[in-house]
Amino acid sequence: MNLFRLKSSAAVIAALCLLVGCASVMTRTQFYEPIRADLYEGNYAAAVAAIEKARTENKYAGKDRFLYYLDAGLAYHYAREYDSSIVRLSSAEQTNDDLYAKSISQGALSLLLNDNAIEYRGEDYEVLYTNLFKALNYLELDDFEAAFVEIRRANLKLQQLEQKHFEEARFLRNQLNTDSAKVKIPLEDKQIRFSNSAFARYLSMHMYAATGNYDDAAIDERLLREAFLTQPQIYGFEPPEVQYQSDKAIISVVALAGSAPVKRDFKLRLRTDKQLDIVQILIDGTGEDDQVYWQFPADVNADYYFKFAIPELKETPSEVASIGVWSNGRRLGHLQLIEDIGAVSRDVFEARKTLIFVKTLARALAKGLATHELKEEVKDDGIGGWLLKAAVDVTSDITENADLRCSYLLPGKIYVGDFEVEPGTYDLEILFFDENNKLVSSTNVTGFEVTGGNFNLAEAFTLQ
Amino acid sequence: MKRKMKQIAALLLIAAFVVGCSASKEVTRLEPGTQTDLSGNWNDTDSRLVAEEMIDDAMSRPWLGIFREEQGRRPVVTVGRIRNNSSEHIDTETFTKDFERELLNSGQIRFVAAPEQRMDVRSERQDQADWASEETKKMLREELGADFILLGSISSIVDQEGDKQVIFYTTDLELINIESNEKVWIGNKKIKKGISRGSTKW
Repeated sequence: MNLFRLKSSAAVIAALCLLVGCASVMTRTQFYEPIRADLYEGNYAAAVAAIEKARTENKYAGKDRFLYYLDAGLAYHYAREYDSSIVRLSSAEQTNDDLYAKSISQGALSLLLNDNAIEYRGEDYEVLYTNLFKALNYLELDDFEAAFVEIRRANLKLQQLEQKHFEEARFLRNQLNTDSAKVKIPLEDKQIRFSNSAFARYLSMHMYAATGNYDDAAIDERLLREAFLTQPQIYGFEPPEVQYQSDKAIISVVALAGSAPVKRDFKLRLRTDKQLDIVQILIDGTGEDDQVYWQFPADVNADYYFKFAIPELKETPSEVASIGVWSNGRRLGHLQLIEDIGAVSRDVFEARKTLIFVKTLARALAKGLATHELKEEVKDDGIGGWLLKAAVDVTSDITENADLRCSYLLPGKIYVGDFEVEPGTYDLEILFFDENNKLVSSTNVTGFEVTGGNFNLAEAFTLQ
Repeated sequence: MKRKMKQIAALLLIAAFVVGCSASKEVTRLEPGTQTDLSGNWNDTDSRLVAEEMIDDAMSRPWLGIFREEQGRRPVVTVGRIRNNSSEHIDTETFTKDFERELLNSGQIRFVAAPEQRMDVRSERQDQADWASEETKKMLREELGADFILLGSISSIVDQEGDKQVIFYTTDLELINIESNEKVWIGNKKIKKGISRGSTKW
């Protein structure tokens, strides 16, 4: 190949990358900073306005519309604009469903560039919580029937989660086996074990009780406890004490605290060794003796070295250590943890991360090999040749980014508490404390009407 | 090598095309009776099928003749709550309205306003009592009491394996004598839908 042809080809690749745009191959998260600051301070209306502004300024790309709908739906919920929240969250769920069929055609694109180039359909845990937040919205609007629909949809998704993951893994395994790639990548799949949400059971337990279906409420209470027994990797704490039946009345408080983990890039390097016939994946940036992340035997005929990255979930620590509930100046009690959304997202995402890793590895290998061959063709040792080699490397690198798209608005933990009181009107104070018992945040619910045999739900939140 | 470069360039062109292009929207007017199944969710066709079958069934059963023979008049019916026990947001009013209209137009049954509608009507009547002229205002406590109330539910069961999904809907309607609690008619319509979706994602 002569230098002119190589220049032309490199130019075509560079031009196409420009045409596709950087936003298509990398995740933009900077615009979240002021939104998160508003949320942290409890300025939920400002967060809603900032999200809507980000949308009009195209900071949420068309391919990221799921994220806009989810973020806006959550922000409207925090701002207690329940109707607006329902509309956005329904659109998020619909987008996820619409993208199901499109995903295969987009698979080719993601294989060529990276996952950022395709439409984001949401992680399974994000889709699950669209239903549970919609259920909360409907409960706030006293629409039990619609809230029940959302709980059923959430439970349905949970039942299908493992099957869906199994199908995705099988599809990827088939692709890897039929791929014409020189290096065959083994796939060791991880299972999703999350199939029963204690928080979903808590809501439906109270809803059944409030509609007089005490048998169903008892079944849900049992299933709530089963969630803890059968899924210790997610519910590694004591189940909360719950109460759905009383001769008086029950105040049920749901508090959302902290932020769910968000995605960060996990930089890796791929190294092949033709002497040992081995492919090694090393954790980038850990020094001379880079830690080995994974390795597998493979018949390789040259020594290669490529960089790539995959997403990983990073914890966002919360200041909240305990939550107390006061009513008309009297302490009712404290709330107990029922769902650690961080643990749920880790369990669900870890299984998918294996698939993302193998897929990214296949793409990095294909791209790396092509880049290597292109560079081999450059015979010019002068400045022109050096520039061309650099251009090939840069083009390969800028298209190789981890897809870090995720919602930055999901809460980290859900706490609940059921308190038996006389029917009446209450002024509630829900106080969030840190580990030194210092007040972090508070929510006041004034003039709260409490009636017997009803699901008297009060909600409080802080993303701190 | 030249061939490989061409392949890479062609693939990237396709990628840019796929990323950069979006389809334009097209709107077509359809006859309301046209069967449309897009998402697989409950839709107007399901609603119509349920209403048609239920109406035929309700009209052909003996309860109607027995009542007319015993009471010497047409039965008065009101529509109560149709519970949605499915995993979809279904507006049950679409088929209860069809049901109500067809039965009313048959001339064999009289309908009174449903409970929520009655509140609006009563509010208007109260308003008339306060503000309308003596000659035109309508009297309080002169409502026509219903003989029967229609109650029911829609439930769904979803089964999924890979890309295939089956949704089984069952709609139950019951006509209950308000005075005696006697059930005089039970109608049931089942709908089973198979949905095949696109392939598995990466």
